[in-house]
Amino acid sequence: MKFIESRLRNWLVPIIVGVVILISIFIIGLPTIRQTSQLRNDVTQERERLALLTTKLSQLTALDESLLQSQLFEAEIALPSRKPVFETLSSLSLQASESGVLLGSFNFSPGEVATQSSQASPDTSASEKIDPGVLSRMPLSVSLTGSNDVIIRFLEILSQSAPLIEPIQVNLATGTTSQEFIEQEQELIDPGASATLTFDVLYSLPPENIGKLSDPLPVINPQQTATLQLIQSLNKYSQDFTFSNTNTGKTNPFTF
Amino acid sequence: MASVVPNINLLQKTKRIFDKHARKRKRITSVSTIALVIYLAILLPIVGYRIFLSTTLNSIRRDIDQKTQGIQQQQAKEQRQILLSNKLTNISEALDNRILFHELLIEMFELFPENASLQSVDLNKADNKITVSGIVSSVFTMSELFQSFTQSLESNLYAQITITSLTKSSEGEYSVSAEITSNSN
Repeated sequence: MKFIESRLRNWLVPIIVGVVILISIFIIGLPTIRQTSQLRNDVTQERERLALLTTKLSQLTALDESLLQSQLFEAEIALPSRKPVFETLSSLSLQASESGVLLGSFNFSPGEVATQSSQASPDTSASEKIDPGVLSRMPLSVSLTGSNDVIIRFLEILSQSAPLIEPIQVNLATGTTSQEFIEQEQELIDPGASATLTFDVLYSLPPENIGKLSDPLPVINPQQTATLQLIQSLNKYSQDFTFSNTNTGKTNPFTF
Repeated sequence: MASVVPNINLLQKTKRIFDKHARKRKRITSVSTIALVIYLAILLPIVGYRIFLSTTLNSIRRDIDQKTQGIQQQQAKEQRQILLSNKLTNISEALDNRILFHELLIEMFELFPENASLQSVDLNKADNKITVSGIVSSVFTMSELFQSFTQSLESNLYAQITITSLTKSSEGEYSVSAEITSNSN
């Protein structure tokens, strides 16, 4: 009996130590290791997020507010955020008078007129729905009369003007008939020409949202800088632009 | 005279057993203590590292909150920059895909020689084709016109030119129609 007691006394400390270590491993050790691993991942992720936010904040701070506003103003004139119906009509007549061409009929289908700029009618067909932030087109067809030179001049003015338009089709009848051709050969007169011009008036709704806070700030790349310089050199025939601070894209862009 | 006392131990065997047990107990205790120390030496740095990471994470999150507030204060600026970038991308796309029709029309007029006259031009971006028709006063001028077509093809101005019709009227004029496939895009 005494021998057993003595042996137990010998192993008491190691047994206690073993039990303490075992319990501690399950209660403290393993959860601590798990938490540490999780924390390390969190720290890495948060550091990356902090770096992104720091970069973004410094980029935002470095942005010149007035320059940005003026650049946006130019871009908005070139590519309006709503269908530029009146701007196009007024600029077309000004361009026509500048080139000397006579504007005849035009065919414009701007689409549905909304009572509220921010809400599209539920009846709006899928084809008429416009994606925010995407280049959209509004077809317009115009008939012109004038000499060949002024029609060409009109097309040239059109290509150098804002709002931007994209010619799709030109049908030019130079006005030369066989009889006139003979006279033209003799007198070198420029016969009256007529043309039907079909083009797309370009616009794009503002992007629907500005993304996540940690999303990087888009930087204006060299190509965009060149584009900016190009649109600054365009002839502007309408400047009644006011920038809206809303960050929600309009599904139906009419505001009139 | 010095007396010699012999070292007599009557319980020598018992003492040896006792000593052996004591040494064994001591060794077991030492091993246990060392195991405990090693365990703590592993556990405590992990706990310390966890505390360090936790403090670091809190500090980073405080910085993130500060930066977030800073960005939110400049949200209008960010919105303008995003809008500008989007517009410039769309404008670049539009300008890249645009065909300068006035230049094409001038090219068409230049394609016809002096004694030939262009009657009509149809430019269509969708099918990349230009349809022209004109009047030519003589066979010699017609030959000049065809030469002009050939030269423009040789200089890679156009991909293909197809003469779709060639007629002669009672007045002696020649009418010619051609379909030109553009090289662009």
